[in-house]
Amino acid sequence: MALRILFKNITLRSGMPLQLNNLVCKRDSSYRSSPIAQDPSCYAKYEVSSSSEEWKFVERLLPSTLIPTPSNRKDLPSGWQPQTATFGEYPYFVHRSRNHMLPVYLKVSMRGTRRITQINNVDGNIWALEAAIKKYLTRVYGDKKIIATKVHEVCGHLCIHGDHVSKVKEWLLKKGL
Amino acid sequence: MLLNCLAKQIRALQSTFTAACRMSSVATENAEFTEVEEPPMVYGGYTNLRQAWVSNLDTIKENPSTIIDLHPQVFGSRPRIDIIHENIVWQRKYRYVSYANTKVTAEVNMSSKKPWPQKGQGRARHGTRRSPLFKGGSVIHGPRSHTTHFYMLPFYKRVYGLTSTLSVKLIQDDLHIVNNLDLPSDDPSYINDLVDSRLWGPSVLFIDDTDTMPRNISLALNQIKHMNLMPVYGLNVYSMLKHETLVLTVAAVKKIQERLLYQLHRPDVHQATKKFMLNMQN
Repeated sequence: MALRILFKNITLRSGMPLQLNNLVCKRDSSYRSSPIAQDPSCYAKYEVSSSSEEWKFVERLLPSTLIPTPSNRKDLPSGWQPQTATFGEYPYFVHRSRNHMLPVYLKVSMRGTRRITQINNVDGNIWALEAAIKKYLTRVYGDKKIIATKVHEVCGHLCIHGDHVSKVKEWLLKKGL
Repeated sequence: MLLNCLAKQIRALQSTFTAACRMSSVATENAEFTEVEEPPMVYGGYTNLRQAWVSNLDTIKENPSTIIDLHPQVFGSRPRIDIIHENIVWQRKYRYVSYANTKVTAEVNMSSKKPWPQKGQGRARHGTRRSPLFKGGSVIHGPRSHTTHFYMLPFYKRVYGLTSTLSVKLIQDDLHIVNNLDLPSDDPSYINDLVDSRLWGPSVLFIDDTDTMPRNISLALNQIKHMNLMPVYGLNVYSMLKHETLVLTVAAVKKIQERLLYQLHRPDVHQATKKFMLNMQN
């Protein structure tokens, strides 16, 4: 830290003893010695506005408190599809997750030997969904695989034995869910 | 600010959500309630809007005046019994410190002398009587105090615990909504009679959105040990299950809905689900 000694109202003349009481110690780059902040108008030109038109631009910068509703486009490069099915179209309904993704997950357990496809957020008649998915998967696999399912009616979970995540997602998207 | 946020959220939600937090007035003199409007489709046509009567506490006889709409994601969610159980276990454990203690060999208060010579006695060789082989000696792998059982349940398990318990309480008719907590007297027998006549069960938990409660109910419940007052920020799964009946004020319902809906739809989930640090500011 640079130490600077200022001579206060004094010009040093030869032969005059240094009067330490008149010396002011000043430390640069210190918080206390830095100049006191002035009125903001000294630094930048601004005007206070209360128009709601301009507030929109501020709002645009504020972080959102809600996940925005996605667009209805079906040709997005990520392959994401919007939910187009309406209630009442099927006796069952699968709600999207909070991020508007399909709630189909792969649960791997028993050190990777047990793979279970789980569909969450099933609403309505979950047994009808189970029958429909079972029918679809048996048509896909024929006699090669036994499609075993587990229905948790209270929580709205449907579990299918085996890794059928992509097949189930494909089927749900085809239905518009 | 928060109310502003909520208004914005509700506006941004799909039109099916907008019925939340709406209070529909039903005239009390209209006995048949014929003009009850069709509840709007909320959260799909299968999970309906939840509704509850708004009753009062200033008369012993129940005098419900309005119906309040409850958001199905908060009061009508699919109850995850497993998550409720995890919350209960967590709430018992995070404050539990085990003081069970046993001594290791060095700590046993006994002579450190060799009990008998190494050879010549025909007995087994031993260096000290403090060893776990001796009666009164130390314990191997015994509990050491103070063992804390603190851990943090994942954030969304806590959120779903609240929504599940509120939904369970509502569907079991153990959740009642009142307009405010104003009582006409501070006599404990008044609130006892009220609870008895309305079959609210012996233990009742009253929840308001502020922590400065009205004078009468505070004095009355001070005498009754099985009825408690709690602000919204103290709402928790353990207390809701411990008390047989949960009584919420309308303001508390709105606050709970606002906070829980914010948590269920917030975009910065990574902030909420960060690893828990003891010095973290929420």
